[in-house]
Amino acid sequence: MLDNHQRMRRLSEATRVRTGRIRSDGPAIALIAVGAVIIRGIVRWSGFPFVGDWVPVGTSYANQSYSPWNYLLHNGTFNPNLRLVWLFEPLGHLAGQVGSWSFSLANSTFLAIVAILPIVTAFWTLRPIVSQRLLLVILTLFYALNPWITAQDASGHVGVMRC
Amino acid sequence: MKAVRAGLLLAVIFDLDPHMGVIAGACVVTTVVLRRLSIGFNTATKNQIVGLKEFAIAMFVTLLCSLYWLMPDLAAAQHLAYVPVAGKEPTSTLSSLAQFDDLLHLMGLRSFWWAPFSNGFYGSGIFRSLLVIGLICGPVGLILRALLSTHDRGKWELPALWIMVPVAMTQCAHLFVTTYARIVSLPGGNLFRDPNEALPLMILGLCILAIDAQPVVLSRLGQTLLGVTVVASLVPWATGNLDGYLEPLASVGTQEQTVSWLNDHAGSGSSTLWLPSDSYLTTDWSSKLITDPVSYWTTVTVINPLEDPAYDFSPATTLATDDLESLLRNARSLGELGHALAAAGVRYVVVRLDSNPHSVVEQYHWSLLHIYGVHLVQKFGKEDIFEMPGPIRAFGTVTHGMTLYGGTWTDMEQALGIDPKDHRTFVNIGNLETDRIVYLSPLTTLVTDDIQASAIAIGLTTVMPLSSTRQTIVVDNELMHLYQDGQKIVVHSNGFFAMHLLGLNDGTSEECNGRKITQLAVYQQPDVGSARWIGFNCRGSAEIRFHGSVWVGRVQSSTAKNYAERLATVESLIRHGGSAYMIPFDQFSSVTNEFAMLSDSQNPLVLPPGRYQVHIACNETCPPTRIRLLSAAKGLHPVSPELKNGAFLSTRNTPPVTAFRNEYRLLITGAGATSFEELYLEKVPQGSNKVDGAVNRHSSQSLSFHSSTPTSVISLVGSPAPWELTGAAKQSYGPLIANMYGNALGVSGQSATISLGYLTEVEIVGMVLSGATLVLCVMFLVLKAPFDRKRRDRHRELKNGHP
Repeated sequence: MLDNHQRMRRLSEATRVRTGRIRSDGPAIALIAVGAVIIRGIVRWSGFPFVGDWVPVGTSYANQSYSPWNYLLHNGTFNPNLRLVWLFEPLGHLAGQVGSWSFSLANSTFLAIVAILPIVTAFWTLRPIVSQRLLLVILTLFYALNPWITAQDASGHVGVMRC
Repeated sequence: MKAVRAGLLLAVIFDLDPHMGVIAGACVVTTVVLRRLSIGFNTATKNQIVGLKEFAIAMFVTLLCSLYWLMPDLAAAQHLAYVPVAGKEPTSTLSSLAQFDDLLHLMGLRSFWWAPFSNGFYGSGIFRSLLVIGLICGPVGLILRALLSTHDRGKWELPALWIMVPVAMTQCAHLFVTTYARIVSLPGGNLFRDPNEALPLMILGLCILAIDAQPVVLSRLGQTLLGVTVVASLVPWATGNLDGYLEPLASVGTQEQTVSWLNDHAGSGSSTLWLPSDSYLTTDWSSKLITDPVSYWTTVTVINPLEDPAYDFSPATTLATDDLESLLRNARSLGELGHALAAAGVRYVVVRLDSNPHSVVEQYHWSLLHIYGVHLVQKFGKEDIFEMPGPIRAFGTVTHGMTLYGGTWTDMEQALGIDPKDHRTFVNIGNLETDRIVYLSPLTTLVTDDIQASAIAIGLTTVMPLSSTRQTIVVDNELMHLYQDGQKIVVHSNGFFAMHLLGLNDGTSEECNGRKITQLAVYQQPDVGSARWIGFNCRGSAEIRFHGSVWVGRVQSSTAKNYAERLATVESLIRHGGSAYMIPFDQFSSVTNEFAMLSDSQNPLVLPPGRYQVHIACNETCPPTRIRLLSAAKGLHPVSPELKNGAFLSTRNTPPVTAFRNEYRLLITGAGATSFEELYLEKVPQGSNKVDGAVNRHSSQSLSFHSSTPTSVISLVGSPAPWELTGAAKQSYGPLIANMYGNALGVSGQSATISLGYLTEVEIVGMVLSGATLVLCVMFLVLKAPFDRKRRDRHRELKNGHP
């Protein structure tokens, strides 16, 4: 049987561990919250997620994307997106037919990932080298959502998912 | 192990965006170089040398992992007829890309060239001013702190370098655009034609400044300033969908249904064209500018060009489409345009009446409804599908030779009018600078209405570039630059100098080596709404001064001998069986109260021997017209006796085919000159380059052909794709842009297999190498991980003093 004193000590220790964990996880929690806020209006079950140069892709584009010469696009042209075949081919097949619910969901989710991935990669990179928690959050957001990245996102330049 | 991991990471970055790959590489190189400089090359430790080895391994892994696209790209650069990145970057484009590269925008990292993103995202009025200050205070605070700090300056050399490089690039592009154009025109420089692509380097530099400031604590003020910048940066994101840009559109009108119908009906081999053909659309169903999705959603070929010159692998398609839209917008020369489109392989044209500007789209619609033979076959909402009159050009055809023509839709329409049922292979005479074999071949024919213009277009000449900072338009397949009243062009001429002009109302004055030119060697009468050539003989400094605004297209110089040879070549081409020479109305003198085609008695037009016919086209239905031969030269009597005596009736759809020979005088009486849109005297072809053989399509990438003649021309619908012949036949010239939207290849041999996807082999090799590298790297990382973990544990134990 533990006496009251011991019980109180253990409780305070547990509280301290919990508080410490929350403190150390604080930046991650804050960034998750920011991420959730900035993409809350993007993911949808219906609609056509266009943005700048980005056109939502489906099965038909997935079938075009692996060939170095695209016979269908622009009266036949060199395929400049061959380097992204590993990204567009699965995405296109996942999206399915144009106008379907899967098409909307897959493409809008992809855009949401494009928007939040810089936060994830910046946090992952900076966490081992930035000891101050507030500075970690500020620097992560500065790196991931600065006006240059914002303009690239709005232009539909999906390669902005920089690691 | 670190090197392999870094290599894989770099490969992902490089594949996602080559700009970022280069920046990541630059970061690593500058870090290594600065470190070695700081320690001195001769005193480098073993560990630091190992660091260089690791760097080399990482680069090698990155390269191997990216071969799946690098190899086809490099192979394409070797084999494609036109590679846009190899072109010189126009200063007008660079000026546009660098327009927001002033220091205020740059320090706020919002120097992106598109105003809605660089300015529009950040509100207006006082709110915007506050945000602008908020955006720059963090970066400026970090830089000032680094500059003013006195201790450990060596730590800031690297971030200072990373910040300075993009600043220098953007300021160079912003303030000295011509110099920057020269830099980015160097091999590989095109990657940074938009100097803002280098900005991530600056962002990294700023982050390093903030991180390095940690031990001395980034002061509370510093953190607050950076925090203000972050809050200002988050403003566009506050809506949860980036100010509406990332929110899906609720509808795309009836595009889906139209695409689906065309997928079911167009069939393989034929093409579709969507109007307006712009790459970016503003529509009734979207408040924002969107990229035309049709090309990405279709399973049939879509012609709509990629109009950005930096990424356009087929500028000929873009120019042809611009020319077509210009014709439809102005309702010019619409008569047989449907047949011309069919001869180019276009089966369906879709007009999107829900696109802006509505007035232009409605004009396209009206014009298509009034083209002979074009039918409205289907309608989805505000999207109308028109079918061209048959026969639509087959995906592949074989002809004896090729027919040279002027290169515009109007020229194509004229050429088709001579023998509309015969699908020749039409090649733009202006695209043959390096293919002498084509115009020296006895199988090549020519359809022209101007010997001088054809001679100027053909053969080897020095084409002079015009200033790219001027306002430009595309007229009849040609890019033209605006020159104002009093401005001049001065160039070095090698003997013959010629210039293509539009809107020349007030004349020009020409000088050669300071002496005034009194007699022009070429002074072509313009076609309706088209340009004209002027030219003169000059060896030395040729100058043309404009009296009034004028659009200037091609400017060229050649030796007088070369020009004389080209004239002789054109004249010999006209004599080939199947060639046709059309004399337009404006080359005849007029007679009061009558619409007459009279050759000038002082300067009679001497034509090559042959049969000629009168060609008439009218705006609407042609009025009853009387055409009478007034006289012919002695000994050259008309073949058709009834023509000599009087007249015959001409209507639009039954053009008169009446033969007579050589010098002539024709009198046309009827409703008056304004009723006629075109009036030509055409040489009747004596046989032509008929279809003679067949192309069989085995798959999308494999075809075969057979021909009854030892040499022939294979033409395909679609842009000039890379070809490879396997079998008995050999390529003799080409591929050349043919039939406006197609391509043609001269071959010797009567049968062969044509492989359209020879790049596939390169791609497979690249994919195998990349895949193998990836697998080996992953295996290496997985297998080596336990050993590394054990080594780390042992090292930790030894450090802690335990056995």
